[in-house]
Amino acid sequence: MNAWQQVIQIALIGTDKQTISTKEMDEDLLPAIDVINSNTAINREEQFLQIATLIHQYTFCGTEASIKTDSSLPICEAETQSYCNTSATNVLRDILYENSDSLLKLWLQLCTAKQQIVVPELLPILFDKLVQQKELQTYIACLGKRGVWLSQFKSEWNFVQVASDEELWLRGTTDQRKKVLQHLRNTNTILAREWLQATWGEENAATKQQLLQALTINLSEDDVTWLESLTTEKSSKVKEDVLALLQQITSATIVQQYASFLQQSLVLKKEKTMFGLSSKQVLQIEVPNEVATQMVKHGLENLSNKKGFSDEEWMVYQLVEHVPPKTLEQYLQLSPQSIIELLQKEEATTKLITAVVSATVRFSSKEWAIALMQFSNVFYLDILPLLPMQQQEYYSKKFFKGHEQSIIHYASSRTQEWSLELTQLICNYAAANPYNYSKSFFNQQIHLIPTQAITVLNNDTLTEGYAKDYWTNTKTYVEKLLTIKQQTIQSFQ
Amino acid sequence: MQFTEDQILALAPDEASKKAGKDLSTPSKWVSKGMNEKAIWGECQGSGSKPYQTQVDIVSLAFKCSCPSRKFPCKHGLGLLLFNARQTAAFTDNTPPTWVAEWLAKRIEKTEKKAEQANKPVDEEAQQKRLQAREQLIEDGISELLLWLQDIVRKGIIHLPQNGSAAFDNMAKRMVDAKAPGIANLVKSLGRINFYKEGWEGQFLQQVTRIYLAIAAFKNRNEPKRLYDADIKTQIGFTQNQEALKEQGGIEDNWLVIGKQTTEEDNITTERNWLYGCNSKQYALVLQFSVRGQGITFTLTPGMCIQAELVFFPSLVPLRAIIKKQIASHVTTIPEGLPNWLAVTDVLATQKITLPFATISPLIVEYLLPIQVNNEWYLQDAMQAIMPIEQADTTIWKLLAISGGQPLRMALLSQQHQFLPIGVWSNNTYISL
Repeated sequence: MNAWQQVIQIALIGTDKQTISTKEMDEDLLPAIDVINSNTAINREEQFLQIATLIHQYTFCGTEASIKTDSSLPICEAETQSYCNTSATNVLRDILYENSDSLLKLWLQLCTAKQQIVVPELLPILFDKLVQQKELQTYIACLGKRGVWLSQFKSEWNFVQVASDEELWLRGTTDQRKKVLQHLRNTNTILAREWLQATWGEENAATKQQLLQALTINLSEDDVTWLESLTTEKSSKVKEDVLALLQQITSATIVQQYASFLQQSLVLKKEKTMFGLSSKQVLQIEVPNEVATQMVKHGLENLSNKKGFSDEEWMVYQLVEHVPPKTLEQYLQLSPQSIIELLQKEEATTKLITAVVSATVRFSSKEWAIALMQFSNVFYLDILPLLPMQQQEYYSKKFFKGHEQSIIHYASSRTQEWSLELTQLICNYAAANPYNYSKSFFNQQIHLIPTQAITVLNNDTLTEGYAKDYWTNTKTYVEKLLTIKQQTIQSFQ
Repeated sequence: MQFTEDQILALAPDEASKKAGKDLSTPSKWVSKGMNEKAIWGECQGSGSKPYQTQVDIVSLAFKCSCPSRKFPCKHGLGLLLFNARQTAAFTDNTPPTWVAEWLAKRIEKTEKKAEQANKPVDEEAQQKRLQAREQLIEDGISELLLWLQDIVRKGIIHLPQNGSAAFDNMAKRMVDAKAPGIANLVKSLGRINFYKEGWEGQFLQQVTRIYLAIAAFKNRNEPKRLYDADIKTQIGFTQNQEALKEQGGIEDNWLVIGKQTTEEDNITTERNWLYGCNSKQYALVLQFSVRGQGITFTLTPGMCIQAELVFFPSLVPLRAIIKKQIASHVTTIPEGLPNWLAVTDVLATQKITLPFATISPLIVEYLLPIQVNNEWYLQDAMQAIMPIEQADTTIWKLLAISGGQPLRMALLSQQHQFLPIGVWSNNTYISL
């Protein structure tokens, strides 16, 4: 035991119980310790304090570094990509300081597009951010070789040590496999399905359900044969999911069956009016008994549990919901405009409009989405995503009043920036409802707000008070984020 | 004196003031404006019926505004300075209005009174009496402290973790009453030790020996072979008159800011700036204190190099200093550090021998590589000697990222042979950690 360790040992148990022994002390210390111990003017405790101070100073002055020859650090390979410029680095610092994931995503996107990498000193803080925001891990290319090298020292950061898609698919977690499949569905639809087919027999029901969700991406006629072969699956939940997928494909047998039922149940008839002097076309609901019986076998209901709907109306409603709107055009030999107008003529068929909307969304029918927006008396938010961007903007602005919250909600899920006019409408509404649309809302949506919006943030219609103060704070914050956004874009130009 | 925009914005107490100041830097906001060699003034139309009267003394930078803001300087002061920096030519009026002239006259009067007070003959007898009374108080206080320390070592420190920090805080308060704030801080820090961390006993005992050393030094202050008076006084907590210090000659050099540590306690923010003199090879610690964002005189940022004259507090190992005069900011130069740990331990031992109170030392060392041994991080020199890194999670990862497995020139703070990296040179640029 060295002298300092002995001092600590005695201090722990107390000088009452033990005193310092000079047996193992360094010879150089002994004369000084003798002087202290022979000083009768001070008590035992002060003698201990003096010796402790002496030994501490002595030990400190004699401390040397130890030699370690068997430890070293692997050297990181040289980078092949260039570092982002100082301005981009500074703006990244600002983004991380503001804790804006939305702006961070934009920054990483631009950095990846320019094939540049982050400067080493910002890697640790960026790594920690990517650990929290798994979605941003797509941009690991920005971390460069230094990032890969660094990740070996901290287990939380090893997401950078990416395995190949095939490796992840075979050995990854369900979540990782689902992500791989989703990615592949976007790039190579057929291969994704083949991978799933190859391992299908070995998956359990829960995994099958998870992986099937990836098929919603680019679902097409090519998937029908395999999906229809799965309708005999043991698990009822898997079967339900398979059916839900098939119900979205026009060429699926089940959809064709529904179309045939609908053709028999919703018919175009001529009715005489003005005491028989003229006639008009009407859509009539007449469900044959055979169809009613068959519907149950095909997963639909033949008894209404919906208020205001007769059994027949309910059956047709379900059929319209499950049949591509194009089918209506084909068998009625009418344009979408005529069909919508016909449906709106009678009370019973007006109810079917929302079913047409559902079908439009289910089969992603852009043509019908446009027609519904043009000719329907009601605004349906669900079909907004199917419209061309210009029309989305137009209808979002047109129907903003009265649908503020739902339009803002949809606008928040968009991937393209809002127009300046829409931004102004949203900001005006946010200014009037500052507690619902706080800094956090704008922080999340800042990638959608055009940088020119700084000019539309001023809203002087608000009266004085807490709400105005609150909005003023939010506005200042948004201005700051927009400035950072502008700097981000400029620094990668 | 003409200020740059950055210098003006650095004066802002917060981000909101910077933004508001920028907004007010346009001509449309100012009803009147003017400047001469002493001041800049202007009337800003605010929300009230009368415009706010804003004035800035540009000789010894000071602000005054009739607005009700409690921020200092207010947005009007900042806005006026920014406006002036951007469009000096627009300030054509050079005859100060009455409200400016009166304020400037009052300021001159105040300065004269201050100088008068400073020139007043000092009543040395009264000063001596006050000093004796204080020394007596300290003497009584530290005698009590010594008894308390003796009690602790008699009973043993093993039970301390269960007792909490109240006893240390009470004794620290007692030392404040005894007019020994330096000792009070040392005692208080005993209670801040993490008693759940391995090795707390050694840390505790080191601090106890430091306190004992200060007690013994003060008790023996009249002995012929005493330590340097100034160092003893610093340990006890005697304050140094900084105005008097500024009267002394200092070291003029290009000072590189190698580190900045900011802590906050009892609403007082303490800024510890570590500087390195590129020519004198002298290290310096410049402390600045601020309350609610006010009080910082110099804006120092790691990596920045300032040409300045620094006056050191008297000590056997001078470290703490004040900036007497800042001449200009310069492009940074790369200093040469100590070659290895052997040289470092030599320097530290010499410091300790010269001044046993010495605790924390800044150092620049060449060719250090972070390595991991048994899950602990160390710094290895060119001779493969290693020294431990003070545990600071964020620092080690940043250091490692910059290093990429290559040795670096590093600025460190050494405390009891634990080394905290505060900055590194990478590609000839200083990066603060």
